Amino acid sequence: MAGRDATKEFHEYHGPEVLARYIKDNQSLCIGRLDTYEPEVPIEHRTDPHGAFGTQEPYSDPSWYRLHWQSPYYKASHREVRRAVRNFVSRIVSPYVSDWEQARRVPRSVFRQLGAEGLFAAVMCRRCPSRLLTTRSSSSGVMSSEKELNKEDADDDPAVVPQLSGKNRTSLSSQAYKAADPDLDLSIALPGNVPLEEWDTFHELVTLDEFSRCGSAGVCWSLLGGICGGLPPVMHYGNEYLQQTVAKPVLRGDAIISLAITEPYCGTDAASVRTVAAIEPDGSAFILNGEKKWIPNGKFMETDMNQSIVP
Amino acid sequence: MHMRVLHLNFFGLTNSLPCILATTSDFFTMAVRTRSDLKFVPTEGSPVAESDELSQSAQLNLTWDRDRPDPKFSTKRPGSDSQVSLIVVPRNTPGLTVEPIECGGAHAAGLGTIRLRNARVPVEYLVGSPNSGLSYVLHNFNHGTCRL
Repeated sequence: MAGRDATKEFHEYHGPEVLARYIKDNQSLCIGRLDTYEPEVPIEHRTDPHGAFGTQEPYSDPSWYRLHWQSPYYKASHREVRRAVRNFVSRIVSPYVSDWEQARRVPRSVFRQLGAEGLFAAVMCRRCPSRLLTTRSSSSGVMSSEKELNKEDADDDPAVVPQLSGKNRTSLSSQAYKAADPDLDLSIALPGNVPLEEWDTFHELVTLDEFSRCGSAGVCWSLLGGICGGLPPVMHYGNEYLQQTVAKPVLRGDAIISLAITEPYCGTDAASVRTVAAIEPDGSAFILNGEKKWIPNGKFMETDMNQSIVP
Repeated sequence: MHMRVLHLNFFGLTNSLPCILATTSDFFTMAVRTRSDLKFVPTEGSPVAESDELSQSAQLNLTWDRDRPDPKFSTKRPGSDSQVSLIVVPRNTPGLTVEPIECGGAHAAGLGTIRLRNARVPVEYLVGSPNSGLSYVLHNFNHGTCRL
């Protein structure tokens, strides 16, 4: 519809408040009629106030980054996010996807690197309680170099997972847990150092879009598939104990999480799962019996870990 | 080629010893079936701040009709005796084993099968309220579709 009168089509799908909202937020837009419009600058000579992005070759980047487009959704901060994530993916992920596919695993150090750069927080920030995330100063928000990543490769041990015991019962008191671990902040910066309050769904979409440039569905599923499905319910509904022992390590990249719904009997029909959690007579624990299938990150092999190729 | 041979050997080996050699995600957010009369009640003597969902759930205890036997719902579709809950299951839970699935591609995703045999998980790992797991999962479907 670009360049044509889309008034009728627009009002078929949107209320009048939508147009007013974007006009208010974006000073480069205006409401008017094309038949009476006399532009001061011809459309073909217009430039996006945020500047062009990428090489401007057709289809090499999303079309809204071309000079003549003025998207109301993508601002300067979205370009910064795209630039930062593209830089990270092109250096840390893309060169190694074939090796990781062959090795059938992604090194744990890469998860830690993603966590340190705020890329895990970036793909769920709309559901991320602000108390778990603080904005880091811009001077420290520089993407880590490959050299730093290589330094971490030797540390490929699994994350420390809390041992299950009756002692966890005492942790139901959130106040007691806060006293034991006063460091409640993650101190992770979002990509492009975008402030948390300005982060929107389009920033998240840009992040996921840039990850797809690595060209490997398996790597994308491993790095982001589990956390996008498994962590938001924990962050949104989990108690204080889960926030501290699960959400924080996963956002930092120290632990990996996966969503386990699909079963051999029902596939993705979440309402028909057969795995049973019976409650113990004293109410202290659940006893689980059943089977889950097709779970991402469900089969990293210790032997593969020792032999796999790391960047 | 050398790497491929190594993997074939390892895969044959790990097929025979999957429970010993497999490691995996550190946590699984797992949809499970729980008895329908399971619910939270405030802990005795603990004030409950209704405005703060997290602190509220941190001061609650589970309760249910103890006179009613645990329903045998393992082979049924959802009915009145059981509903879906979400539980975070740590990978080091005794009784949890993992087995690889051989796929035609996307090997780095590491798809696997998880088997639970009397795996004991403390109630602290229950996500939100009991029997609300389906709504929690559905709540995240739009967000998850972004990733897909």
